Amino acid sequence: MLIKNSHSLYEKISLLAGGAKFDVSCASSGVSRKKNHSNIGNTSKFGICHSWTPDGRCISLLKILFTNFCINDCAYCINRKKNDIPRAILSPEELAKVTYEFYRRNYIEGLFLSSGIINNADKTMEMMIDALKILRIKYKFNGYIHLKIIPESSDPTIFEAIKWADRVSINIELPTEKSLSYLAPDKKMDTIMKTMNFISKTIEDLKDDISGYNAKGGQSTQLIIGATPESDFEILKLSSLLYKKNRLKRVYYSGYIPVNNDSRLPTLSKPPLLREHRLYQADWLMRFYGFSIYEIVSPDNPYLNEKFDPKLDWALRNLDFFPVDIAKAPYEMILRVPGIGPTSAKRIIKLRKYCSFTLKDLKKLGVVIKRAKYFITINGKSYSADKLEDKGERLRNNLSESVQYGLLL
Amino acid sequence: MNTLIKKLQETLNKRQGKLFIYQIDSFDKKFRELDKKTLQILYNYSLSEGNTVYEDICYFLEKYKNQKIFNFSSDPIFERIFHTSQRVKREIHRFKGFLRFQEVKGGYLYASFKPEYNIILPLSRHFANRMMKEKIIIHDTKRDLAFFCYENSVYPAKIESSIPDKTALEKIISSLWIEYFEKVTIKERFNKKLQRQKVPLKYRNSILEFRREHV
Repeated sequence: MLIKNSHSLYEKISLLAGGAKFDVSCASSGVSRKKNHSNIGNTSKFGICHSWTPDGRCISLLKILFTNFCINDCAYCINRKKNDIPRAILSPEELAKVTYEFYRRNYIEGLFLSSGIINNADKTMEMMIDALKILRIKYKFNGYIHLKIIPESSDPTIFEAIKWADRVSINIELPTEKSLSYLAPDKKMDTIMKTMNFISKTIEDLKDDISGYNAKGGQSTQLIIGATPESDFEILKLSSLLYKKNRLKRVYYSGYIPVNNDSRLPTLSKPPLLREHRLYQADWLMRFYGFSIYEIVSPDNPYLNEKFDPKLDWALRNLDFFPVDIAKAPYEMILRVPGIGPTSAKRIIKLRKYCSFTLKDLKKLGVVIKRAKYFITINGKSYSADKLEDKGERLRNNLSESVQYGLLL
Repeated sequence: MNTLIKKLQETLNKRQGKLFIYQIDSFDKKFRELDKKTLQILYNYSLSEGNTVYEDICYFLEKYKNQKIFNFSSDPIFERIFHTSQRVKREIHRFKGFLRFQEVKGGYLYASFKPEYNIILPLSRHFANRMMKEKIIIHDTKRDLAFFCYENSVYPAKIESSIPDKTALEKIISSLWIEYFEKVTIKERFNKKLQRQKVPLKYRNSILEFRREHV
């Protein structure tokens, strides 16, 4: 069947890949599943990237839409109802077959299936779940599957979806109710939030159930950055809530790229990639560095500094916290030093029992010396010509040179 | 743990001919004293095929006093062992993603590649485990080494005839993949520099979507 229809399948893949590309999530990590005997595929805890496209984004999963037909009319979306574009829909069998064939050639680590809405949310979800079932049962596919949950799906449908996927996600897209009703009038913030709660509850309930896949990789979501006027504070406030309250594994930020002519949308000369990058850095600080959102941004200071990364920015605003003594300070304090991440901080803690360090040693442990040296002492010895007292401007200047290299934009 | 020691000994034994007085068997006790992480580092280091692998491991076993501080040492040889093994580990991980199989007549999946280090064995184990029911041939064309993988086992193989032709389905699927690769790119975010960092030029010839005829 695949061979007979190959010409049209080619066009479908072409169209439906193009329609899915703005979803940034591609992680295949977080689920470790050694295979059982009859199946093909396993998953790796650390995830595996299979390729990188010319935009520098990794391909780990076959990221594709089930269909680009859609009953919704979201202003920012290429697949919105009123756009006059070619439309296509895959059959569950076609999708399963392509995923399977890609997987066994080691092109991909699994499937990331999203979709426009055809008929209604539940109908669309049912077709997507059918594809997953064919993949899991007929092709005995045991690799990674990330399934998008369509807003307004019913609870039983979502429950069924979770049973077959390794991760599920529902995209909020715009950070406030106001923006949503302005640009995506068919989407409702409180429905999405309710669905998220239902998802986290279901995943929790199914924690010990071994009959399904049960989204062990948790749930994630995506926010579009720069299409609406929300500040970084508002965006991060939402993320921090989602991490705490809904136990999300990841919030993805997608710099807005115009695809439609619509007077409700801003005109940008280029996508806000630096802003997106800074948001990810701030997100990391909240998840892995023990920062609270108010240390990073606040209502009075609602935007991240574009010049310095948020951790360095925090350090420069809190010079009295430093210097931190590498030989004595606790882990949490060492982690606050610009240029030291969780890996090198852990190494320092582990090794300092046995020996003392020099700057060169720290470099070997993975510390970025040209940033860290201004903020540390080792057994009381300082390594920076700039004394902390007269840091101010001079430090800013020194550091702004040294951070230039950091961005590949 | 035991298999790791065995693998390490096998690798070292191959080099023993040209080497001095040490007997590999006398290391057995010392190997058993090491923790798994350290052993893994030594094994990866042995795959680097550097000129000094054997001597360095002998030296290491003599000096190593159960410190848990492998990645931090002022000893230049310890440092070399650690850093090289990291590079080997990274290459193994990379090829878990980069290796591309093609379906050839007779029902085999065939992949060839040219790794910097001799990583074909750990890589084959990964795929033997991942695709239990497939008949897989992995071929290091730089060293002319090949492994046949089936049902979670790997067997050394020798490629004596030419590789069979691709199947008809292979041509369809590979062109689907190349089209997919093309279409999933966001032009507004072009960043070739980052791409080059992630997919080094030296590997591109063995990665389907990067072969010159498609780019």
